[in-house]
Formats: sequence, C-alpha cells, structure tokens
Amino acid sequence: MVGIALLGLTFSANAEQPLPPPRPSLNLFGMTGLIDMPSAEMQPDAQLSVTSGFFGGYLRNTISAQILPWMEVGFRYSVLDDFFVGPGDTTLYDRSLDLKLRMIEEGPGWPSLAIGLQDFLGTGIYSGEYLAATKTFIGGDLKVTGGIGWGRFSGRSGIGNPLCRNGNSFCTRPPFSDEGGTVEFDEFFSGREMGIFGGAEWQTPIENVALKLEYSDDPYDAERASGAFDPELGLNFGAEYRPFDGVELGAYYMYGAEVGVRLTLSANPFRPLADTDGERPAEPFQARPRPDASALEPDFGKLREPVTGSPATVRFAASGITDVTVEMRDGNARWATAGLPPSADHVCPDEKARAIDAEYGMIDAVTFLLADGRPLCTVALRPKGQNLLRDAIAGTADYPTDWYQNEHARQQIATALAKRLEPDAIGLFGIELKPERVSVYIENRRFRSTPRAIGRTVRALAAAMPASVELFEIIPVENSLPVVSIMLRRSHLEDQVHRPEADWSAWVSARLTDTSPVSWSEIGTLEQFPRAYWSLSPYTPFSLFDPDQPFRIDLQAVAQGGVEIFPGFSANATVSKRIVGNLDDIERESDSELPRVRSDIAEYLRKGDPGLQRLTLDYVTKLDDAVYGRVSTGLLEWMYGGVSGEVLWKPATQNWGLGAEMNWVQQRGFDQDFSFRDYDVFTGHASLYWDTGWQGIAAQIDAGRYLAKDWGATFTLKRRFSNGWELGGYATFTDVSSSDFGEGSFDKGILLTIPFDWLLPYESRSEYSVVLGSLTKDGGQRLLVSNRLYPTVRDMDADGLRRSWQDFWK
Amino acid sequence: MSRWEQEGIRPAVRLVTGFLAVLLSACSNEGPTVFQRLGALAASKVAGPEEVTGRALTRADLDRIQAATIAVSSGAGPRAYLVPLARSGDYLDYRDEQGNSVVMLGGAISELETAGHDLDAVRFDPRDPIAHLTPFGAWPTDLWREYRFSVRQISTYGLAMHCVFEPQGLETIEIVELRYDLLRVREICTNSARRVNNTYWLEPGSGFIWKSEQWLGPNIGPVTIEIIRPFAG
Repeated sequence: MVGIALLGLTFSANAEQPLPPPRPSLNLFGMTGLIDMPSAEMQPDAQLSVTSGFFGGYLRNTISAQILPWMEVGFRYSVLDDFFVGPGDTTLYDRSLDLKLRMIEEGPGWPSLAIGLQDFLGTGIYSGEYLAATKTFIGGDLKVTGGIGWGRFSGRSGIGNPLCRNGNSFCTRPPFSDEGGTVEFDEFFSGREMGIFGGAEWQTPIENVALKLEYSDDPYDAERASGAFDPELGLNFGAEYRPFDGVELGAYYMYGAEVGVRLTLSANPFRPLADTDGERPAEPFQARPRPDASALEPDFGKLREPVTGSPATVRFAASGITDVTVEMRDGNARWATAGLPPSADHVCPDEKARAIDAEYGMIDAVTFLLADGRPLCTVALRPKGQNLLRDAIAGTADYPTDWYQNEHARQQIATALAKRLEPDAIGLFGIELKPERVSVYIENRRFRSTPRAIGRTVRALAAAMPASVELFEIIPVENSLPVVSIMLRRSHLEDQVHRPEADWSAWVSARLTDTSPVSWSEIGTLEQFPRAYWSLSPYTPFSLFDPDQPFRIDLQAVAQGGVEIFPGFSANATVSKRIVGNLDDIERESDSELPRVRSDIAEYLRKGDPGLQRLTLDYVTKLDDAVYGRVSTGLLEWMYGGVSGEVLWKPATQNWGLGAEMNWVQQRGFDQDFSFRDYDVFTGHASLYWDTGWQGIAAQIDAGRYLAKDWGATFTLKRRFSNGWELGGYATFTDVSSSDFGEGSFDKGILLTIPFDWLLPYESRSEYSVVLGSLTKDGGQRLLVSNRLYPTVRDMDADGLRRSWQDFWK
Repeated sequence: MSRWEQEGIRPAVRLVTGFLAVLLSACSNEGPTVFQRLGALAASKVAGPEEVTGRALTRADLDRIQAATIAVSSGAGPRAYLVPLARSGDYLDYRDEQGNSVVMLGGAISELETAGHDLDAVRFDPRDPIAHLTPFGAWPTDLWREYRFSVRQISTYGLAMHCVFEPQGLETIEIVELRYDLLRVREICTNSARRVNNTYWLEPGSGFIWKSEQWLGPNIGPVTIEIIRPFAG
C-alpha cells in the first residue's frame, strides 16, 4: 500500500472579518481628544495606549486605558524643563492621573457627552475638569467637539464660573502644590473663571491621515511664569497619521509658538496581535458505536428527534387528545404522557406533541400511548428530554468490564493515556480507574485556557478508555493542588462533538464540584516523586519616576530550580545575575521616617548581584474540599526571610473566597546572601476575594499589618480577560500619615499583565506582569510571596472555567 | 572599565546583545520555553514556508487506499488527501498526515481545524440538501445556514446567511483521472454584510455531491472538496 502523500493546506486571509470598532485618536496628554484638548469620544473597550507627547520643552508620557466601555483612565509622567526659576534643578517631574466618563453615547440626533477630571490625584500642575460634547458627521470623517472647563481648561477667554456665587467655595482654586497624591473633591469645578474649548478633526481622503484644529483656553500661566514658554494664540492645528493599526504619529503647531509631536502605541486585549492558532489540531474524538435505540421501544416506542424551533400548527383542542399527564423525571424534566384515541393510526404525531407543549407549557418530551396502552413513540421537544432519552439509550449498552480484573491491562490503559496526553504537554498526575468511571488528575503545562486542556484530555480518554467507562472525571492540578472536579458523561460528549455550540452543550452537561483531599499513593502519583525542575530565563526589572533618571532598566538572567519531594512539599531556589543595565546606578538615599522596609532598594540593587532571590521550603496542601493551606520558610523574597503561613477558603462553585496569611520575617542583608539585618516584624492580612462577574472585574481587599508595622488595608480592582490580560490598580491606606509617607501620600499603583500567547500564534502560560507603583516607599508595603494560594486556584472555579469554555473542543 | 567599555560597545548595543544572548539561552526541563518557541517561529519566518515536493498522486495510487478519501485544496494549491478517522452520528472527521481536520456532514464541511483560522461549526437548516443527502428534485429553493467562528481565546461569533440555489446545467468534470457527468448548482448566500458563492457538482438523482467549492469563513475563503472514494458506512 502506498503511503498517503498528504499535503498541508494553505489558506489565504482576506478582509471580511467583523470590523473592529473605530478607534478615535488621542491628544498630547495621551487621552482621547483633539490636540491639547479632550473630546467626548471613547476608545474601544479595553484599549490600552502608551503616548509620548512633546512641545515647548514639555514631555508627557501617558499610559491610558479604556477600563470600561464608558470609562477612560490615564496615568501620566511629565517632565517640564525649565519650569522652576532659579538655581538648581529647574525641571518639574510630575505624575498625574486622569479620568473620563461618558455620560451620553452619541446618537443620530445628539452628540456624545463626557465629563473628565484631569490630574485629579497628582500634584495638580495639569489639574482641570471639563464637560465635552462630540458629534460626528459625513459618516464619521468629520468630528466636531465643544466643551467647557475649569482649572487648566480656563483662563484665556475670561468667562466667569457660574458655580462661583457670593464668594462660595467654588470661587477659590488653590494653586499648584508639589505634595499631591490625594483627591481634593472640594477643588473640582472651582476657580473664578470657566473656559471654553473646541475643535474639529477631519479624516482626509488620504488614507489614515487626519487634520485637526482646536481652540484652547489654557493660557499656560504656570509655564509662562518661568519665561520658558510664551503662547501667543489659543489655536493649535496639525496632522496625524496611522502607518499601522497600533501606531499613531502627530505633528502640530502649538499656541502660535512651538512645534509639537506625538507618538502613540496602542493595543487591545480583545484583538490578539497573533489572531491565528498555531497549535496542532486536537486528536479526533473517538465515539463508541451507538447502542441500538430499539431496546427502548417497549418503554418509549419509536424515538423522535427534537422538533422545537417552530410553532405548533395544530391546536390542542383540535388534536383529539384529551388524556395528558405531566410528571417530573430525573428531577427537572417535564415529561408528558398522552393517550391517543382508538382511531389513531400508527404514525407518530409530532405536530400534536407541539400542541401539547403549547397547551401545557415547557414540555421536554411527550410519550404517545396507543389506545391499548402500548407506547407508540416518544418525541423529545427540548434538550432536557433529548438528554434523558440519550441517557436511557446509553444505559442499554452492555459493554464488557472484564478488562478491569486484569491489573496489567489497567496499567496499559494508564500508560496509553499518559502517552496520548504527552504531545499536548499535559501530565498525568494520577489516575483512578473503575469499570465505569475514570478520575484523572492532570497537570496542564501548555494551555492558558484550562478548558482547552480538559477538552484535549477528554479526547485522549475517549481514545484510551475501554467502552464501559462512561464517566470521565477530570481534576486539573495546579502546583500539586487538586482544585476542582469536572465530571462529564462520555455518551453526552459523543452526542455533542461537532454539533453547533458543542462547547456550551458540554458546559451545561458538566458537573463541577470541589475535590476532596486525595491520598496520592492510591492514584499512582507518588511514583513520579521526587521530581526536579529548573529553568533559565531573562528578566527585566525596571525603575520609574526617579528624578535623577526617570527610567532605569536591567537585563537579568534568572535561574530557577527546585525539587518536589512529594506532592506539595518542595525546596525552591531562584538566583539572578545582572547581564547589563543601570538599576545599580540609583544614588537616591532613603530619607524615610518609617522603618526602612523597602526604601533601601538602592542598596539591594547595588550590592545584591548576583542575588539569591529565593530559597525556601514550601508545603501546599488541600485541608478540606474547599480549604487550602500553605507554609513557606526560608528566604521568602529578595528583602525578607522567615516563615509564612496561609489558609484559603474558596469553594469552586462560589465567586468569592476568604484567606488569611501570617508571616514572621526578618529583613535580609543588602548582599542578598544569607545575612540578615536587625529588623523583624510580624505581618499578615485577612483577605476577601470577589470575582464580580461584571465585565471581568475582580476585587480584592487585604486588611492587616504591613512590613513597617503599620495597620491598614489594600484595595485592588482588576479587569481580567479570558485570554490572560489583566488591567487594574490598587491603593493602600494605612495609619501612616501622608507626611510620613512622603510624596504621593499613600501607596498605589497600576497592575498590568500581558500574556505572551496574545503576541504569539501558539499557546503559552507565560506572561509579563508589571506593577507601576512605588517600591521605594515604606508605608503600606506587603511581603512578596511567590506561591500565594488564591492566584493558584482562581481560574479553576466555575466562573473562570466558564469564561474560557469556548476552547473546550479546540 | 569593563572589557565591553574598553571595546567601545555602547550601552544600547550591550542591552540588545545581552537580551538576545539570554533569550536564546532560555531553557527549562519542562519542554521548550516561550522564548525558544519564539526563536523557532522567527527562524521559520526568515526561512520561508516549507517547499512542497513530490509528485501528484495518481488514481492508481489512491485506489490502494482502503478507506473513504477526500481531496481538499485551496485556490491553485495542491490537493491534500484526507481519510476519516472518527465518526459521531453522521459527522465524519477526516484527517491528513499532519492531523489537520475537515469534518463533513453529508457533502458540507461543518468544521475545519488546521493551524491558523478555524471554522468551529456550522448550524444547518434541517432541510439543507448539502448536509443531508436529498435528490435534487426535492431541494428547497432557499434555506438558512449559520457559520460559527472564534476570536482566539476571547469569544465566538456566528455569520448567518440566507442561501438560494441556481442550477447551472450538466457538466463533465474530472476528479483525479475519473470523469463524471454531473449537475452544476450554484448557491448564493447573503446577509446584510456579505455575499458568497458556493458551487456543487452532484448526481441529480441521488443528490450526492462529488465536488464542491465551499466558502468557509472570512479568514479562510473558498475551499474545494472532491470525493475520491465515498464513505460507505
């Protein structure tokens, strides 16, 4: 027989995909808008942009995100050269936060309307509030914006603030201060004057080129005072170009005095950079031959496929059927039994089934009985009825189970299964095999989407398991913790595969429960232990916002390794070595009044190379069905060593959980070796985790004692996407006063996680996470523990699995 | 002064060189790291696609395959030959040597899984004669069909179309050295955003489709399917 010379398929792409929403342009502040002024437009949901805008010696670097479809936020780091007058450093380094909310979405006869707060949490140099309205014309090619503003948006036109009456609080707007960091609600919309702004954007016939013109009321008084910038007009105009989808370039003539430029890089979690899936196709799902449905005829008569989807064409009153009883079967299926008149022929009356459904409401199946009481046929009207019939058919199958008596055969089955899982980098952590049920504990090392790993396991099980095994129980294991049990009926899967919405059919028929603590010796896991792991990878820590040099970065080689002695008990080490970089150049010394729990970072960076980042003994285990525990001891992180213990209660079918963590730690020496400094602390937190289920928002509150022995709470909000992206922020409020904390007043930061497989056309669980915050302050600082429990288990709960269940059959 | 500084290597060059060195040395005992896979991907992009070599199969070659066989091709590309490796009800999962999957329901492709963009599923009108073998005389004049796709790791979406058939007349076609006299039928499927054409060559009496050109989605386009040996159950 000749080999089949099978050739790869090659397909060309064309541009017929559903169009992405239009993406408006940004302004020099990095927010959606005109040139220097905002507009009422919003970016597409979840759009993330990085913008550098420059004119007149003023550089603004902004990260902005469309956190929700109606909420845009921006974090800005500005460098204002020659801002101060006098000797010494005359440059102002300014951090600011913007917020814009859409109040009304544009309609055919009205504009979109937005309210914005600019620099509402920073030092106030760009502080201002506005209301903006934008309307599009000519199919979106022309956009016109108008608005009113306070603070930075006023001053040139001299219009009085209508909110300022009789010297009330709206009449006074405090000047710029360099402390910042708190929200001053009473300053919003205040000041003697109110300003107006507006402009237009025209998308020219030249592809991707737009022209902009705007009027700004901002007199740039603060900048003018130093003499470095002297705006002559309130008019700005310029051109913008998008050479690629995620890149924007702009050039402007600003205030009749300066040339400005802008570069924006933009991406969207909903639009993967690599939108093709380069993973190898899944193995075919091997269905067993269907049992003969005729075995059910004595009880059900002939079986008919569901006939839903069209209304009844026969009125019940005219159907000739009077004898109908409805009962609940298998808990929740409404099953009707209808007696046919003696005159009825032996043709199954599908139409009359629909008439019964219409008369009695939501009937899942109807069994028609002939006048002599024999069943003629059963019509499944809805999936519940269909599933009950299919279960009944599956129940008639009589598969041999003698293989179970043969231990060698059982071993061969397990080996064959492990081999089938190997190409997908799924490890068989344990298996419990019974004649009609198999439980497999799997370690997913490749797929970001756990349902995809479950689906691949299902295919391997269908191929490897004897026909008598009807129940597939799959238990994903993360960090040696069995989290959740997903029970699937093989016959259901056989009926679902390839059908439209087969993924959701599988989800609906799956049963999710917490897994009980398991005896690893009984499921063959211990044979794999002890086991070692190691890896070598690059790492790029960086530092931001140091006035001496606002951006520093290192390239490090990080070696990780360890031995897991038995499931959950492991010894782990991480060593880093700088290859190149300038983080060790930080010269700024801590002037903190608090215990220097983090602010000596420069010392660690200078002296800790190479650094022993972690050397720990760790034990994680499942204490009860929904309770997890962890104990770690050793060098827990680069600045602290000691003992850490944690307990987490998180049922798999519940969208919230509770945790508690207690640590005793001592500060490590700057050399990051085995030495310690003379500072130790009991620190710990009680935590509430809540997956709100709304727009992917996850909330977390950690309340307790921090490293500097301060008491307080950290509030974290994150928007999590099914493909691994995370966008969020946190704020920590403790009993440390604003003045003791220093610049910024309290600890806060932006959280961003970008999964590598968003960039690459294949699966990977690797991701790049970054915290844009301050590690150089001492108030509100938590211990960094690398194997906390909630991040380990959170994606395994019902909500987490449901969000990415679409990948089940992929 | 370090050796690099002595050699005048600037910090930016050092950064890039260092990054590449670490990137390429990234490794783990748990299989290829993301960096290694990235390196392999970049190398394949530089090297270009693998050149397809070997002669085209003859009917004699294909007759030695003791299984149902279909040929699938795109544009002027070479045929890929697939055999059914799994069956669920009336759905047949055909595979090629690389594991690329074409699932057929009757004469219709209902699922496509290859490296790249996939067709997740198709919801057929119960009267659809492409999916359910129907003599041509009993074909409906129009029907609906819904194609299901995914945005990778994010969501699914469907494109529902309204389709009408237009018989084009008898035609003799050749499928790997065998000639068939078949009825050519054009199918025009439209919705508010697009209009696509499918073409079928079928035996009018049985409605069996020997060859077809089917649109499989915005990223895949039309694909040609030829029946080399029909599935006999």
